[in-house]
Amino acid sequence: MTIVRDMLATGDFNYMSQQKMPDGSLLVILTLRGDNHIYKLWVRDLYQPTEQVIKEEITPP
Amino acid sequence: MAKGRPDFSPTAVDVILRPEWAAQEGTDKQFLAEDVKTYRQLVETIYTVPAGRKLIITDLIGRAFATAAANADLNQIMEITCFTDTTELVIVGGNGGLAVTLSKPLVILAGALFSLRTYCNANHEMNVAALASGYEYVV
Repeated sequence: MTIVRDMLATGDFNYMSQQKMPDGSLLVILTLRGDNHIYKLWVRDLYQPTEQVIKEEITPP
Repeated sequence: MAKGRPDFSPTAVDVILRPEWAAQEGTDKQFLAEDVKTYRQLVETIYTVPAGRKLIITDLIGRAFATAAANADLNQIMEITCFTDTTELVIVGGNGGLAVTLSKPLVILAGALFSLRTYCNANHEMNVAALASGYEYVV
């Protein structure tokens, strides 16, 4: 499991938003108070058996 | 201790690690669903509550505005719906936006899928946004 997907799975975040991408994937954005990083996860079929993590990106403050 | 003043002492301050704090007080949670939509299209943000946790949603806030200036003075009707798996928990609507504090907060148990949806219910294109806030704690 990737770092950002693991954060989502364990609930280790304070803020979440999601955006559907033109290619059908889902962009999940997580932030954690006091941490100031932006955690992005591109994923298909989130929470489905066919879930596939495409990529993730962690933006430092 | 003087009346009205907290009984703080420098030697009584605890340093608590995040997981320990979360287990005692809960972790603040906010979920946002926002996008540009037309009539009856929806934006959704989903989250499965981790094992051993409980999610409590206490507040819902919504906002909607027309994407075209020509429609700015029309009704900007939007709707927020919260689901857990297939059960509708709450449906609220407003014109231009809304803010609701739930006197009976939504409780979503571990393993359940929480879905925050916001709909455009106007007959023109709008930017709609819904924010659900609350907290999550270890059960």
